Amino acid sequence: MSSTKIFTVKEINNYIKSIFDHDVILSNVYIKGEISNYKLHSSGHAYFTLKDNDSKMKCVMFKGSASKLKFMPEDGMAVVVQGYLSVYERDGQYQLYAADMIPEGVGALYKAYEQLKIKLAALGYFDEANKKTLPYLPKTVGVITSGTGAAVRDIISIIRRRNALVNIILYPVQVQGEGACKEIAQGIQYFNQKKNVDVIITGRGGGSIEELWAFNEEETAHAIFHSEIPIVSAVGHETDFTIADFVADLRAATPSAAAELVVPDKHALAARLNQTIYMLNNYMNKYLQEKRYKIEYISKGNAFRQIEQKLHSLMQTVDMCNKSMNYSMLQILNSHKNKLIMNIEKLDILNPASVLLRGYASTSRAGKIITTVKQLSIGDKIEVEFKDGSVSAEIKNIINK
Amino acid sequence: MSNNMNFEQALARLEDIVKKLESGNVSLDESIEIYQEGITLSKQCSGMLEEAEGKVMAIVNKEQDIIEEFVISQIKEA
Repeated sequence: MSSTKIFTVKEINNYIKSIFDHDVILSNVYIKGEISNYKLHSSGHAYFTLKDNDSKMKCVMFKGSASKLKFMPEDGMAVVVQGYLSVYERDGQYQLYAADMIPEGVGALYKAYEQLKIKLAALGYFDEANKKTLPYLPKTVGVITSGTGAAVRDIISIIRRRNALVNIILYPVQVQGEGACKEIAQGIQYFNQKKNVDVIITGRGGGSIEELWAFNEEETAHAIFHSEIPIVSAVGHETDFTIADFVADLRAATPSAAAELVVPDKHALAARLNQTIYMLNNYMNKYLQEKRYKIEYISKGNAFRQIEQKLHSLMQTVDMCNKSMNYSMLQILNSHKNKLIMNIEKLDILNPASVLLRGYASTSRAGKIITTVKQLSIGDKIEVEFKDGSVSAEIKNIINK
Repeated sequence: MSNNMNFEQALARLEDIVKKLESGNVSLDESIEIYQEGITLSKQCSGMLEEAEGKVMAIVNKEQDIIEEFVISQIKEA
């Protein structure tokens, strides 16, 4: 006994705690069981017992985790609790420190969700590179959702309000329960076959994970991924993320948000168009104005002025030439006229008639003018012509000089 | 060619033309040519915004592919 070390209670509890805390399994476990003795303390921490037919375990869930639960735990509820096991040294009692808790049925769904998410991610279903761009202004929007309820009403009324030009084709489906995912997939395939829409919105209003489940199934994901038409998912509320949201080309937080993302506001479009038309005219006018200024500038420039001056001087030269030509022409005409007058005068002087006028007479014999006495002989008959008549005469005597 | 454009493409082309004109980096001939194209596009775009009102339809029979007009007041809370 003397060789044996004696421990205090605290030391042993401490030791056991350190064994728990270093254990790989106990540091993160999922444990299923039934809740009993559930007490939510005023501090916000929750204390309960997890039990099954054969055994039970004390559990504590601190305020930070308890406040994040999406449901109200109750006695008798079958749950899966995630957390770690450790020892409360004061009481020497081990307990489960719960970090999260889900109803058991839902637990299986979460597991399936996580597994499918990993699988599809590996297949590239969520890759940005595979995302299609939405049309800027779709002519027709396909809507795959329940034909009743708030989601379809929100989608249609928002699209109508934003842009009444857009056609809508509703493919009504069950959005929850058995076969819902098949109907949703068929809707996507229908629009892809018909090619009668430019973009598809598929989704539903908010609900529990079971209610949203159709959007977490592989069949839905598969149809969305293989759609040639861009798809916007709109499932539940802001905080709900489904597999469909990850596969879709765009995730909208709510059905209303999807309608807003898919259809641009008509007034905004018209405003943008008008602005563009205004700029088109404005820039064209500016462009032409610039060219006009340029022409004006060049025309006022030196080169043009020189040409103008040259033109002016040429015009002057032409004028001058004209003037001198006219003058010369006149001179020539005058000189000719003078010559003519002189000649006429000369002619006048030479005119025999004018000699007769001055008192001389002209002698002829047989029509031939006699200019010398040597042409005559005594007895010749001659004609002597005066200015006012003629006489016949006979030569009686010839005197030579 | 421009007849097959959708609104987005036509508007994008129109904005391209505006940018080109704004830069002033075009010949007079080209500027007149693209300006005319721009006017045609703007008329097309305006026309598209003034088209007849869209319809709301619903597939009422999937087997026989029967589509009927859908009135929003038909919707009841599920």
